[in-house]
Parts: sequence; C-alpha cells; structure tokens
Amino acid sequence: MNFFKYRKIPLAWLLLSRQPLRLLVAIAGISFAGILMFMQIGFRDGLFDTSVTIHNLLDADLVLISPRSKSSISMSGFPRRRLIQALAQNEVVSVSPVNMNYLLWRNPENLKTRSILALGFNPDDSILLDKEFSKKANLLKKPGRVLFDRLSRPEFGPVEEWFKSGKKVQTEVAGKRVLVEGLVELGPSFGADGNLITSIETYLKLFPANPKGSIEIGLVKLVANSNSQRVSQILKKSLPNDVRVLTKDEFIEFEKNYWKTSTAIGFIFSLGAFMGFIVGCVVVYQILYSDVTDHLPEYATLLAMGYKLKSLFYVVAREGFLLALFGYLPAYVSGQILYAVIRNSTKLPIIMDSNKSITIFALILVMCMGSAGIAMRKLVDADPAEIF
Amino acid sequence: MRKNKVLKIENNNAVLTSNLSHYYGYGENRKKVLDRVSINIKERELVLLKGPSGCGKTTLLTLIGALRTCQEGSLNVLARELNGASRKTRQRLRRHIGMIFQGHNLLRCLTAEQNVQMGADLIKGLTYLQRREIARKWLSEVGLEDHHTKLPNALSGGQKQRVAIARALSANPKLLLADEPTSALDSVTGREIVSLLKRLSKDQNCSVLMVTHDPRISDMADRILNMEDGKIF
Repeated sequence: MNFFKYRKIPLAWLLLSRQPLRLLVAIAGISFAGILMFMQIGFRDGLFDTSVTIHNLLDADLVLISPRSKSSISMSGFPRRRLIQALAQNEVVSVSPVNMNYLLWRNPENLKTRSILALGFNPDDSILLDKEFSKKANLLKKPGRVLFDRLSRPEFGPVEEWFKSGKKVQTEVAGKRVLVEGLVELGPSFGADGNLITSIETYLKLFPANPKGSIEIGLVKLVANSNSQRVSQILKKSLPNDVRVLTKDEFIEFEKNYWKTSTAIGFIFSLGAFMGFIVGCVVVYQILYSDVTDHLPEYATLLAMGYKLKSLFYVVAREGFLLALFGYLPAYVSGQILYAVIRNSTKLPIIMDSNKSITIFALILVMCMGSAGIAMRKLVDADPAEIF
Repeated sequence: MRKNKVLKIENNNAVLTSNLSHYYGYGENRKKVLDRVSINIKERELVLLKGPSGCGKTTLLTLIGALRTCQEGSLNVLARELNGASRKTRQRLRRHIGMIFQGHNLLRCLTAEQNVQMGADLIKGLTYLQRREIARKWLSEVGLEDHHTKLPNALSGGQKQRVAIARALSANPKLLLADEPTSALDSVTGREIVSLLKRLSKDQNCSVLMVTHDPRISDMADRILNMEDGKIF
C-alpha cells in the first residue's frame, strides 16, 4: 500500500514506450532468443526424458545389467542364473528376466522395414507398473504374439487404427511372422521410434542369435519397505563381476548419463540454448545502449537536478527488467504452441513444466539485467556541467 | 517520513566566493576562465550576471551549481564549502539548487506535469498525490494549467521554458540558477517570469542568480554583476 502511495513516475517504462517500434523490435528479439532457448532446452530435456520412458515404467526395485551395457541402445547380455542367485537374498521377493534388442519391423501397409525396440519377458511376470498390462500379458502366451506400442511413430504403419477397427494386424519382425494381440502405451524415444513387447519364447524365435541363458535386464522386486540401496550393496558383494546391480533410480540415471556424456546431443542442445542466450544479450544490449545514448542529455539533467547516479542505474535496470518480462511472455506462449506441434508430430514428450519455464525466465532475466549492467557504463558519460 | 535536510545559511549569504579561479585544459593549453572572482549573493536577492559570450558566466554558474569541481579559491554555496567537497556532497547540495537551462532540457517522454513532478520527487516524504499537486500548482503559477498532459514536443519554445522554470521551482530550492531563462519568451512573458522569480525570492527565501543579455529585465534585479575576461567588475 505504501509502495503505491509513495510511488514515483514510471520513468523506465516511459523511456521504453516513447519509441514503440524500437520497443517492439526489442521484445521480438528477446522473444526470439527465448523461443530458441525453449526449443533447445525442450529438445534436450525431451531427449533425456524419452530415453527413460521404459525405464520409468518397469516394475522393479533393483535392476541387474551387464557391466558392458552402455545404454538401452547398446545392451549386452549377462547370465540369467545371476537372477536366481539374487533370489537367495531374504529381502528379494521375485525376479524377472527381460530380453531387449532392436529388431526389424515390417510396416504392414507399405511393407517397408524399420528398427523397433523389442522387449521379451515371461508373461506370468508383472514387469510394468501399468495394472492393465498384466491382463494383456496373458495374450502373449501363444507363440508369435506381440503387443505393439500405440505411441510408436507412424512409419511403423497404421497398427493402432487397424487393430481398433478389428482388422487382423499381421506382419513380420526380423523376417518372422507375428500377430499383434494388443496395444500398450510406452512412447518413442530418441533411441527407439517404436516398441513392441513379446514373450521370451517368441523373442528367442525372432532373435535366435541371442546366446542361450543370456538376458539383457534382470528385474528384482524386494519386500515392502526394504532399503533398496542396502540390498543393492549386499548383491554387489555376493554376485560375480559379470553383472552390475543398480537401484531403479540409478538405472534411470545410467541411461540419462549416457545421453548426457557419451553423445554430443546434450552438448549440442545446451550450446544451442547458449547461442540463443548470446543473441538475446546482443539485442538487449544494443537496445539499452542506444536508449541510454539517446537520453544522455536527459540523464545529465536529472543529475544536475540532484538525482543520484545510482537512481539512474535503477532506471536502466528497471528497463532491463521490463524488457525481460515483456520478452518472456510471448516466448512462453510461442514455446507452448511449438511444444504442442512437436509433441503431435514426433510423439516426443516435450512439455512445458515449471522447471523449464522458470529456467528460461531466469536466463532471460540474467540476459536483460546483464546487458543493462553493461549499458549503464554509458551513464557515467552523462556530465551535468555540459548541459548549460 | 524523511524530510530534506534544511540548510542553515550563515551571514545571510547564499553564495560567497573568494578569489575563485578556474582553468580549462592542461599544460600549454591551460586557459584561465575565471580570475579571482569574489562575489556574494544574499538570501532573497535577485542578481543578474551580464557579460559578453565566453567571459566565464556559464562556468561560474556551473561552479555555483556544484556541477564542477572547484579548483582554486573559496566557493561557499548554501553554507557548504565546495573547494575539496566530495562528489556526494555536491550531489546532495544540488537538491537545494534549482536550475533553469537555456535549452529547457525537458524529458521528452514525460508530460509537462510529469517533468515538473520530477523536481518535486526530490522532496522526501511526500506521497505521489502530494507531489503531483505541487507540480500542478507550479504549472498554474507559470500559466500552463491547461497544458499539463502535453508532451514537450507539443509545446512552444516559451511554454517549454516555463515548464523548465516550474520544474526548477517545484523542488523548493534555496538557490535558483538560470541561464538566459527569458531568451525564448516574448517581452511580456519574460517580465512575468522574472517577476515571478523575484516574488519567489522574497516569499520563499530563495536567492536567484540569472545569466542574461536581456536588457528588458535589468530594472527588476536587486543587483547586476558585470563580467569580462573571467573577472567581475
């Protein structure tokens, strides 16, 4: 209330709005930089999030993988008996072996082939957190049956459409005939454009080169309220070195870490966001610098009247803040629209979460305030003695 | 609520200079523009400063206005010695000095009322509405009550000058420095403005030092100082 009562003339806003065209150019420039950052960070986070779509859905407390495995796109096998050994621990309730590899899927409509991520598991085991999945898993007990991920990219064919219309969806995977018995909802990732789930029995028929007794993932469930970290440590000590024990969170982090560190993708998108930041800095600096230069005699007049140099700095800082605010809003709205377009066309889960929106606002704010800070140096040139 | 510190003027002198000299340039190019100037301006006095162009009038005005650093001699303004004064001291002192510039120097993005209010904003402890009221009062005093929403580019040269005068007065100054304030005004308005300044100097305890070449207002001054080649005669 006092702030309103003792408010001052909004000089920063009046200085900015005096030249509407220049203000619009500034807002457009900042918005463009914001959109660029939204897109780059959106793609980067989308990459990391989609790379663990399946990992998040796995119903397990601990995960066993081969130490040679680098990520879901380059999984190595380890002996299945390690899972049986893990069962010896009191706190382990159940174990589920999972085979995982890329196989060639033939589009049933145009007969073109495309690589799809195939998961093979025991239909009696509940490997996914989705409760509906257990019912569908029973359909896989017959050989040659698969569940198709309805969120897979359209290049795999109109599987969902045909299936829902009651049409029999029969095609080839790795050159062997399969029948789609149901649909699941997993989602594509940067590594896999589509997914299918089948029984281990069918999986081994589709991929006979898989070494006998070798699996790519071992899911371990613990009794309720167990300390998964502690059990993980025990298993690490008791199992041989040909297997790696991870908690589910560590398994998710293992996958994300691969994309962050072992590929240039994370770096490229971060660099793209940084470029957007630099472009924005240049635009804001140019606008604020010319604004200060244009109004230098007016600033000198204020100094002559007894205003402190510090209060003029505040005016420029407020101009920077206003530009950040006005530039951010269109960037946010455009970001939302572009994210929706990308989601619809690529099926990638790129979403505008609070983390992203706050991060970009903070970056735009730093961009504008930093540029304002540099433009302030020009204010020192305002000599009140020169105005007489 | 903080109030502006009231400056207590001793010996009735708003301005007192003693052997005040000032130079521009360095080395061989060093030029003396003020030569041992000793003047005093009493409280409520309206003093005109006359002299040919380049004689040092504006330099003297900027020194008294605490806009330049005092180099040599003594310069006492509103009971503050400015020789050796810090930048902060000079900035604080300027809050008590009203300045009217020949080129108006109004803020182009502000209306006439907002320009005047920028002066009133320097008075601490006043609400926005009180400051606006002061701005309107001074605009009325200079005859611009119907122009308060106009931007400077919609005002004539004379109207701009009157807004600048209102702005200088709105900060409740103890000393008013004016550089050719009537040059853009017709003789009637010019005399009205000087008459207003004279009335203020008496009513509000404000001293006025005015640089002018305008012979039409000479009779209104309490005292006239003549300057030539940096010296007061």
